[in-house]
Amino acid sequence: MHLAPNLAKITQEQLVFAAAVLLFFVFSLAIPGFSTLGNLSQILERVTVVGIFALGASIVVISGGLDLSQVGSAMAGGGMTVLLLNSGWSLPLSLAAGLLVCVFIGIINGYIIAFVEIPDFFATLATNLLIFGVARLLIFSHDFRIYLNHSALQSFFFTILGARLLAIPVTAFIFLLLVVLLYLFMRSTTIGRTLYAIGDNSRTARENGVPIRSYTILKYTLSAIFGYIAALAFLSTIHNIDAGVMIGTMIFDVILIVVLGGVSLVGGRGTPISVLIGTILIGLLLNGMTLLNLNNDLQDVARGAVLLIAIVVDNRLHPRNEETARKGE
Amino acid sequence: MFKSFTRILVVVLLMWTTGASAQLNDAPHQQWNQDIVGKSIVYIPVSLSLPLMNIWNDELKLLASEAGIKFTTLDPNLNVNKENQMIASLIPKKPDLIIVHNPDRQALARVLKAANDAGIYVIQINMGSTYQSDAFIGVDAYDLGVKMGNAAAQACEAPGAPSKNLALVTGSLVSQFSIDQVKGQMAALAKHPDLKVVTKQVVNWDPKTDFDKVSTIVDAHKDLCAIVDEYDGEAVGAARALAIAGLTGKTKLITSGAGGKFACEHAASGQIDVNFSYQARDQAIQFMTVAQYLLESHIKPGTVKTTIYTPSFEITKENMQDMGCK
Repeated sequence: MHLAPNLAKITQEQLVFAAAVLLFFVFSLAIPGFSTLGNLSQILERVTVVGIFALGASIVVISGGLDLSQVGSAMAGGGMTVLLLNSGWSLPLSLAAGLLVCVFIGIINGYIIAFVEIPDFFATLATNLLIFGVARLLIFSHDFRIYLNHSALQSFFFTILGARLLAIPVTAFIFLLLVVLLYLFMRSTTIGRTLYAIGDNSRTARENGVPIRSYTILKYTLSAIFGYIAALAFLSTIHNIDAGVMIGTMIFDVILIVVLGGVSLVGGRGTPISVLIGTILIGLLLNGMTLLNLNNDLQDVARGAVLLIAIVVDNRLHPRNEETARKGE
Repeated sequence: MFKSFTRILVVVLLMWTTGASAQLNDAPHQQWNQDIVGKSIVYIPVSLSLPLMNIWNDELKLLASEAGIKFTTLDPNLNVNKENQMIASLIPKKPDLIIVHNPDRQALARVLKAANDAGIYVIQINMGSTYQSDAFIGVDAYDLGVKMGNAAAQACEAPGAPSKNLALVTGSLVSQFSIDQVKGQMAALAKHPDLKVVTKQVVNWDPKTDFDKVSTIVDAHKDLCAIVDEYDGEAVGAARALAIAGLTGKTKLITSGAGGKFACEHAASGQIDVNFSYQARDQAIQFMTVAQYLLESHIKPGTVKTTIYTPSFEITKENMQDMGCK
């Protein structure tokens, strides 16, 4: 079924943006204090971590993949950083070690998918369980949740990361900066454009000499690096790293934001701006529902419904039969 | 040199004397060796993802090792079906005793009865079930809720309290422990009609969700006199939200939890104003004591029904030294 020509020209990004604006006005009218600067800052703060995760995940989805282990690897890397800092390691070395853990996991994911040719869904699902088990043994062996010690919290790095500028958390500015940087990277560099090309039609890309396997490793590594930045934002917000998050539902929120904004699950479409818009819509929704005092069940219903609508819209705007023809399958 | 020699001598003497005592062959030792040493205990918490169950695990493991008991931990990780299957698959293996933490009153009732019928002792901890096994040992969630509600009323009715408005934060919508605790809180608050609960939030035991929701709440209600937050493991999120909003100490944070170092640190820093601690380490000692009593008793499993409600103590910045905080 095809939409009317005028309607088909509307992108999902535009639809979601319109929905976000509408929701903002509805909540502003319905909830006293919703549109205050303080509350808008809360909205940004609430979605910053998941938004940074979603930026990394969008790189993988745009180039035709899925990374279910991103949150797991991030918490393993973040946990390693906290463990080392609490053991007296220097900040640069602890950060480097945590980043290295994430990069290593990203490379392993990419290798398994590119060279062993395991479908991304199963590969990253399995590696997430593996990471959880190993992290539980080595990093979270005693406590499921490890807290950053007082002296590390007082360091310049975490003081800045946990600070606020004009009532807005610094991590939210970092998120916005990452949106811009990733946008420039994806649109203006050869690597970024190649990632779009692979997502659009991997066979054609391969026939034109693109080293698909190297790019597969690269995209999962980039996803893991963004994950590590998100883990640091998480750490600066609540001062601990939680192993429970590795096997929790945060990864589904990440995918929800990616898909909602208009990064098509079939690959090749969407931008970091789409992710930003999806993040804002989810932030508005969660904040409004909390202020309306809706219970968790209703909040889950709303989130599930939004994800379902986003997938249906994605399917209508980019019908599978056309997509498979485009990919030459 | 002389000091080192003395130290070695003391260690050798200790090893010799403890070795000698282990070889005593009087009636109590015979009974101990026969009924306790080499017996198997399986511990099944709802999840090892929460500090409380980790403290129980560490303490039980230590106590079991000291007593020569084979100790195993199974972690269903908040999966009720998995917990059910774990117990069902344990029955043919016949461990001597199971220490189980119920997710609710119904889920494990049938399989716990089956374990008792198969000759396995069953101790239920902190959350009972509709099937009463050999023993229930744990905190009375309703009573704990009443204490928390009373503490909130006291904070909100104190001179200088910012308002009569308070917020409730609950761990779970489905956990019977949460449900009972909230019932207790509401019963206590019902005696103070001047107080108003402006919001009730559920955070799934997660401090980040707690942080997110409480940040939103305190922005909308800057004059809250108290937040009653079910569990200190999640309430650290609320504490952080209050700190960022500059409300630490103004909006009183009242919670409950396992006690120990965690509770002490947060009381000392003033991030948590009142923490009703059920002293998880002491609880674990009680679990093991009753386990050893049952093993030595030779009573047929499932025939005695013992209930022991463990105490909870208020920890504040003012009394923390008396409550064992260093």
